[in-house]
Amino acid sequence: MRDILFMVLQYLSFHKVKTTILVLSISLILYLPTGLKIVVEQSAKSLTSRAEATPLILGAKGSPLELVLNSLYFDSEVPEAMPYEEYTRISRYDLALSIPLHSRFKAGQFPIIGTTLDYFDYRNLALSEGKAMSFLGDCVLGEKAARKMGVHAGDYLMSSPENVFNLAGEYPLKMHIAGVFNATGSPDDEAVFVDIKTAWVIEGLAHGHQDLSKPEATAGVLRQEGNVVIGNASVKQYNEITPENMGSFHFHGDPEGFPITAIIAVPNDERSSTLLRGKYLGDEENVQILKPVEVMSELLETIISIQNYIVVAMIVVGLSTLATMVLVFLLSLRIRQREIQTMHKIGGARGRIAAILASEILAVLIIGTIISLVLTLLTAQFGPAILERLLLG
Amino acid sequence: MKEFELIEYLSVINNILLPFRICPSLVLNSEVRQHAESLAREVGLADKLHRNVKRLSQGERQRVAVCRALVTRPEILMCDEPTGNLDPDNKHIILDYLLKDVKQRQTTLVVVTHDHQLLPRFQSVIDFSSLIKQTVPVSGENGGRKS
Repeated sequence: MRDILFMVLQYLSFHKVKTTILVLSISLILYLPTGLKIVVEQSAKSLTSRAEATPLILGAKGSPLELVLNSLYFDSEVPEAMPYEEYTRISRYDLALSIPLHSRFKAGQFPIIGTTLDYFDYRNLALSEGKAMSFLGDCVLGEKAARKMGVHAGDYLMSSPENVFNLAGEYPLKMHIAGVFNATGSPDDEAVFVDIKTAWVIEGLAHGHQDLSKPEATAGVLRQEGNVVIGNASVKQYNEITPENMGSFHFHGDPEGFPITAIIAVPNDERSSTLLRGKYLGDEENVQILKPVEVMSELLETIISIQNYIVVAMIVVGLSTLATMVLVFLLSLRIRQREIQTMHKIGGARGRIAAILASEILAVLIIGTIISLVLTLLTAQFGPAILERLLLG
Repeated sequence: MKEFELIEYLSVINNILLPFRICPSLVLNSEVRQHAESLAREVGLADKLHRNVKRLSQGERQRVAVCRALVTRPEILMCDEPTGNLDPDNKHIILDYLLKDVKQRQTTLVVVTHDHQLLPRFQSVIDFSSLIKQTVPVSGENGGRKS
């Protein structure tokens, strides 16, 4: 046996390129269908678990998938906004705990989520440092966002403008980092949480500037009409909310009409859930109420049906590759006829020579299988996170 | 160019030891290894033991083939042009070694060669051309045989 293994090792190591190609082919044939199955199953589990933890989502009428993906994973396209009065309305029904969400802006690559403190209790988010936001302009970071940006409680963070050419739109806001949450292994780890009002400040719906009634702001006065002082373009606007200038921040317009992207609704019980859903069934409604788990199930069904087609295609490709490999082995035997005859001539036993040749094929199959098993294990460990990232942008 | 039926993916020493790897009745042990190494040394391959045979000259390959033939200590050794690709020095080294080996072990060496200079070194010589002249019928005027 030792001599057979020696001969096999010598042959395979001498023909490195051929052996590597054969081993990789075997590995991929075996790995791809199982790897894909594992990734899809585990990702389905991971995606469904967050959807299951979110009973109802309310949002403007439009793509249900976009609404759910944006509200649960803070990714995908920004859904249509709805007025804040929808939050007031759902709260008035007193059938569920309602949490508004404003998910439109980003700080670097991390989404800025405007919400209320109820969200943190609902998602069981615990602070690892600092405290929750208590002032306009405060933010609290998920563990991953803080780690990747290298910031801590007490530091500052700028919001990113949506479009650098949008001069009339939102301006970057310098936010004070009030705290950082513990890691939860969920999309919350990558979010920058602010109060819903802070999100509106970023959107340009509220702002703060010099008090034009003060003597030092005389240069900024364009004209005065009765009690109304009209400023010119030189009036200094604040891009940071501090205790000193906080009083100058004010909203323009009725906050009831300000935008939010979704409302998470946690009904008091099954009956409340049914009643709540019934209230949004009318054709005249501009909003939709969804069960995230149903939306995600539809998405996953689509993925799984696509996966089945892919697996069938892979099996067909795998079989044709196997046939090609059999051909390679047969041709290799044909090319090695002279070597085989030499072995016979110098006293090689027929069985021993056959065992050497068979072991070469077996070794390629075993190494290929081991590599595919390692890849499958790695996929089981890291695959879902990768797919989730790919799926959600 | 003559081929020496060496295995291209094995080194010099492993080509010499090949019979022990593929024949279950032969046991590869340290004594055999030493014997193989001493054979290689005797024919001037001591510094090329671990070199792949593809990287050897024709003459060196021929010497590897000779060592492989001797490593099992055969009782009858039949060689077809064993010195055919060797330079004069190596030709004598190989022939000396073959003759020394058969003398030491009291075995038989049968060599086919076109090199008439080697003939005096053998105990018995059969000239194939004279055998052919004796046996092949020649068509003459009287239609008789040449004997």
